[in-house]
Amino acid sequence: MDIATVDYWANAGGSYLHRASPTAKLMAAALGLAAVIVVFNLFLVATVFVLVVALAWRAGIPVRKLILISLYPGVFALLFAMAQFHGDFIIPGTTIAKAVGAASVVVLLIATTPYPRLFAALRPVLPGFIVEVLYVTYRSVFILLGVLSDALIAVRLRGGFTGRALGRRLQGAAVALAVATLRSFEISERTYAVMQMRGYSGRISGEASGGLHLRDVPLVGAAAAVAGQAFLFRYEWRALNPFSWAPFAAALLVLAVAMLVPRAAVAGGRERPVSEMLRGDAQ
Amino acid sequence: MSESVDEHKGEAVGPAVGERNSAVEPSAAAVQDSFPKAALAASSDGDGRFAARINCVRHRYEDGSKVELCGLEFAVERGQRVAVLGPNGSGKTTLFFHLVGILRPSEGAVSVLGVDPAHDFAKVRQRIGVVLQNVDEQLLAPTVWDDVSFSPRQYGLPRGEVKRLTEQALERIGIGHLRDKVPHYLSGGEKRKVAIAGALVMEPELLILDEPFEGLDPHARQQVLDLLNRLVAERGMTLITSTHDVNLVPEMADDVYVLAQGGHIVLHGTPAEVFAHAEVLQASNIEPPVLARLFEDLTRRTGVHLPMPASLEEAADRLAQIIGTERPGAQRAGQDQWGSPPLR
Amino acid sequence: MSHLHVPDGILPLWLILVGWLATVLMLAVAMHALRGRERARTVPQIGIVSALLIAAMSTEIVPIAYHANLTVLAGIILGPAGGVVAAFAVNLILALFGHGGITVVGLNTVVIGSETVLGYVLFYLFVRLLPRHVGVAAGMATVITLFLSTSLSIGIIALSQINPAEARDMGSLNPHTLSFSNPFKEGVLANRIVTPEQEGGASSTLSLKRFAEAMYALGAIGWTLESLLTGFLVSFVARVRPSLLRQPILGAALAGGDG
Repeated sequence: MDIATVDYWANAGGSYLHRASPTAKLMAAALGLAAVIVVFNLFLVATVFVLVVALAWRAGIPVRKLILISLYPGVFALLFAMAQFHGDFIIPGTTIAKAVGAASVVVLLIATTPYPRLFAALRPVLPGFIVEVLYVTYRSVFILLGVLSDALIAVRLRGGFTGRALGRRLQGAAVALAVATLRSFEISERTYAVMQMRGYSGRISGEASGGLHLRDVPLVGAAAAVAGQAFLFRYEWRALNPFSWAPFAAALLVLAVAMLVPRAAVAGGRERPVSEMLRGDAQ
Repeated sequence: MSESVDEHKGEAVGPAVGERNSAVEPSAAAVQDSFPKAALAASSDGDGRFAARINCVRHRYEDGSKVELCGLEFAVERGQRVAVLGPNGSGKTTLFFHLVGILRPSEGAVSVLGVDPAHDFAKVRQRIGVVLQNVDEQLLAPTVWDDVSFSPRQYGLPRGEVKRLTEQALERIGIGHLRDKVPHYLSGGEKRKVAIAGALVMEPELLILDEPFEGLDPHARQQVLDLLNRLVAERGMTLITSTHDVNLVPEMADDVYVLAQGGHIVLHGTPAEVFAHAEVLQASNIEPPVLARLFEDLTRRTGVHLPMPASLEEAADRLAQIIGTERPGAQRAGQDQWGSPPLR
Repeated sequence: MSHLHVPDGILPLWLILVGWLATVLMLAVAMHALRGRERARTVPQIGIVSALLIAAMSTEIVPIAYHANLTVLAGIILGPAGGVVAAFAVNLILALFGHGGITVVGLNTVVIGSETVLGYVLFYLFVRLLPRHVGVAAGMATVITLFLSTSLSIGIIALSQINPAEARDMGSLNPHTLSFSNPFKEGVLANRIVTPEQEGGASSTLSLKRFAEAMYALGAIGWTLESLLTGFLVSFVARVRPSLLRQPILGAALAGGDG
């Protein structure tokens, strides 16, 4: 499932982006999102998207899969885009592009930062109780995905999904979910018991909220620049719109450079692209 | 070690407390009268003799099924290594859940380190380490280091102390290289080692492990076993485990309890004593260890009394003595129980 | 399909902020309701139910078109306070890997949080009326809850009044002339960051109607499936572990005093 894949990318990678502090990445992602949301120009949205792809490439994230995941909100944007269709394709197209662009920024964030580290970085802005719930939810997702997939396999093996009939699929899914639901309660009771036994007093993770480091400056700086130019184009659009192709061209250049410069040159060879690891691992 | 034991069920053949004869289940009434609930509950920690006691506990599950941990008394002395054997569904896990206070008995009393665990586990939890059967549910924290350091952090220990205890636990189990890993990407055996490290980190007096060797390869199993035995010997830690692997029992337990279906405690004694009762074991779907069966068979065939060996080493010694002279400098089978190389 | 699958960049900023504000308020109320020593106990409960929802929403039964929601079930099991917290956790985690917009997490939490609260209230109401038909009570509660939440979603979209004219005003590329449009020809510009002034409202109402029709039509199918599923799950739980259902009245009605 997507969440498992993305989690693997986040944990397995060792690129610059992976090693950047979560707080810096959150800031950069927020700036990137702002850039996408603020503009109405297809070129400018595409600029952000291309830069994301470039960063993903250098971080070793499988680009094709990342784009696929980012396209998912685009499908829903289609509904809204159709509502906006009044004869030309550009505006609906921009709507869809914005959805995909925004998603790509967020997915890049989560593909290079494991969820728990993000939660730790969010500690200053979220109540502690909520952060604890997020941690347990995260762990439980993986436990439950195992339970659910086992149950689905069992249903499938017993012919629960035979035939194309939707009714059959739903029945099978319902049984699997029932099993998962029941196991959930048992798991939560035992988890609580274990937490109590081990002395739980309110803080599952020892990770510090983390701050910014000097090496994060290029990342946040670049994101700020992108956001800055987006705001500039938005408010000075009368003058600047004819030149909106320029940021897009620059982004394409960045992408070309990113793809051409060999990755092993970075970080003294310690960096091992995630896509390479995925090819190597039996999946 | 008496070998002539009355096996008739229903007769009051309960041993006195402390007597080291193996025993078979007496009538329920006899047991219940001898250990009044009040006395058990009131036993303070000043009575340093027992780490854990269960007095005919009955538990009724929500779906109606019942487990009755009755029959022989379950009493674990401090510094003992106790193993609980029984078929699936016999109530082993129920027993463990009662020991740690997850389950509350409908009838009967439980005492662990002098308190009733269902109500007061928090008073003694710093001194008890627990690993339940399903390790996935016990690995709560994002990384291995976070999980092993969980207890020290929760108890508010200073950072330096947390670091020291955690590093010590990681090194002891030999998983220092896993410290930054994420739990759901570990193998089953690695997860179990992490859970055990998490249980040992606070240097507990009592360690309760439900199926501690599940998922471990033979080498890892021996490592963990040796570590546990060393902790018992050096620090007087009490160990309560359950296992399916009967062959390990002689090496890992001084005292063995056997449960039958429904939770009845039908046998209690040293491994040698318990494994001599083949029929009772069979009724509980337990096969005695290979070595026990071999030596019992030899005893029957030759008429020479050959007591059950505690380890492969001991078995080889005895057989070598019987067969004839040992070749000087010959390599010994198995591993020395106490002198195995430290884990790191 | 009550989960607002509204991607980022579509709704106006003021609405997004209102959503976040409402979420903060809901969470504050929920946490206040959960305060006390027993709050630690709710952490694994809420966590596992949130995980259940995430797992269910990630398992596409009919790809893209339908996935199980289980929000009403969450409300029934966790109660309204836990349900709201779960709604937030689920939305945040899903949004972070691209399943739904990150800016709309606020609005989504409002919608899904309301589902858990409504589901809880309606279920325990109906089950008093139909003590022997727990599944039916759950199913009915689900249908009504989802209808109301879908209407809420449509209302939120209606508030946003997506206006194509504004995009042109902002100077986007005109494909027919391959030039950038001049706003003075088309209408007066409004500052979209702060004020939601609507121009040409008539043109967008048409779109809204189309949108609403689609949502209700798709929704009806979704509600039916979801209510069947929820009814099945709740009756299953009631049979096997009645103590999980929250209110003692229910326990007494079902199992004859077995609490």
